[in-house]
Amino acid sequence: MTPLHIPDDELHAYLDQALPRSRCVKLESHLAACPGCRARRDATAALRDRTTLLLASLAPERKRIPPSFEELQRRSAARPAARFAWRDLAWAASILLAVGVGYGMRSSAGGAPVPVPAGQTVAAVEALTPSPAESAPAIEVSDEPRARRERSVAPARDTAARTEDREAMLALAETPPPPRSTQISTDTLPRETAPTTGLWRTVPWTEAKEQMGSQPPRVDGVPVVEVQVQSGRDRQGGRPVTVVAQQLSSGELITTIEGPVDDVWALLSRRGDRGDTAGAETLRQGSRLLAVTGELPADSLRAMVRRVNAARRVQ
Amino acid sequence: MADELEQLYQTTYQAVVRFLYRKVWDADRAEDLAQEVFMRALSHRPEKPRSWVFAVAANLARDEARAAIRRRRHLTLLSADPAGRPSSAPSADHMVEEDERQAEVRLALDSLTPRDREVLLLWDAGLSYPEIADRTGLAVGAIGTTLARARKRLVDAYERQHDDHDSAAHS
Repeated sequence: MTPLHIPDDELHAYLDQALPRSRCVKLESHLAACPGCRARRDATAALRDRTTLLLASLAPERKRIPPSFEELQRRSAARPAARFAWRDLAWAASILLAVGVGYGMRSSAGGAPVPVPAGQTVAAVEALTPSPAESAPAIEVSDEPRARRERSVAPARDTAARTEDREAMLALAETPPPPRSTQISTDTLPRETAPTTGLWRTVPWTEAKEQMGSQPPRVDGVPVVEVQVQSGRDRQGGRPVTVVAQQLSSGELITTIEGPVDDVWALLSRRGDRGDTAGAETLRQGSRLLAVTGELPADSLRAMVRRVNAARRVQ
Repeated sequence: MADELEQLYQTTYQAVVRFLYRKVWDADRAEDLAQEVFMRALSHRPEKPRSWVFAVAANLARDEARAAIRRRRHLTLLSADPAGRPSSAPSADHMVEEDERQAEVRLALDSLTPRDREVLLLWDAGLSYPEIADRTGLAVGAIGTTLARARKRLVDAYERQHDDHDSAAHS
């Protein structure tokens, strides 16, 4: 007889068939000779069965017939195809816009000024404030009612926040990495991604990095669909305002805005004036403000602000 | 890989739905999320699909729970009918008893620590000890200990709920 009794965790592992065969043989020879351990094994087996029974009562009622695997494959295959189609359209729109803007600028040089769309992709232009009644965005992010705007200064970074950050990272880790350089027209994006005043340029990712001296603030691991820089606005000798639009795999668009406090607040309030009630979370650091906006729960946006801020500190 | 995923889908789909249901408490939503999980598996082609599927399911459920809290769509435990069940079923007495029992089990499950609950649900979903360890970051040797504690706490908490309910009913 083995002198030591079998610990509880090993009895559970034994009953769950999670022990190697050699260990099972030893346990069984001990059980054969030890009535106390046999009684505990029976009690453990009863506890295990009771747990299984309790959990079984929490099963959902079978309501729908699950789709066939082929159907899932079809749906899965349809996703990237749709994304490519959208990207192709974005490029086509970009080219058309470039041609249109070139024509418009030529006309304005010879006579009356011609309005230039906010989604400029070629050269720096003084953008005009679009009215809310302008054409609907090409991407509809969500059919759900828009959340009320929530603005708050994020609390100090603490343990809970770090845990939240890790969770946000896990949730976002499934999205593909950002492309090296993506440049599309803002006319293909919801209006909230297009700042409305100031000298704005849509620039490739690499150029934005060069101009900023570091990577523009954005949520790591999420594809970047557009970067805009407010040229000529670094009047305090600091970095200009940057607006980085990114798209989550679920389709939602998030925008990270970073710059002098007044400029960022001006951008956010202008979005509010246009009736855009998407959520926004902000984090102030001295004279600069970091904001993440999008049709997402406030806690998700807050987690993203913290992630972006943490990434910036590492840079 | 597609064959492996197909087999996993056939054998694990219902377990994933149950796993999700015990986190989001909405039968329809659990099914929607389970299908989303397998569609993502099809595009990601994970190396360890079984463990991966439950990891993604847990992440989706967490996001769902946060969104539900924010939209105040969460059903309160005791006042709501279990999701997807008509409130005027023919065998009303039996349904009421079942609902009460389910609410008690749910409260008991919610009283566990997140780690104990996760390990217990993963085990109930059919994952092996190494798979649970892989998913939770615990050592394989710690799974037995965690399960032993979780099972005991679940049953103890349920019996406390049940006793409280009985004594309230008879008083």
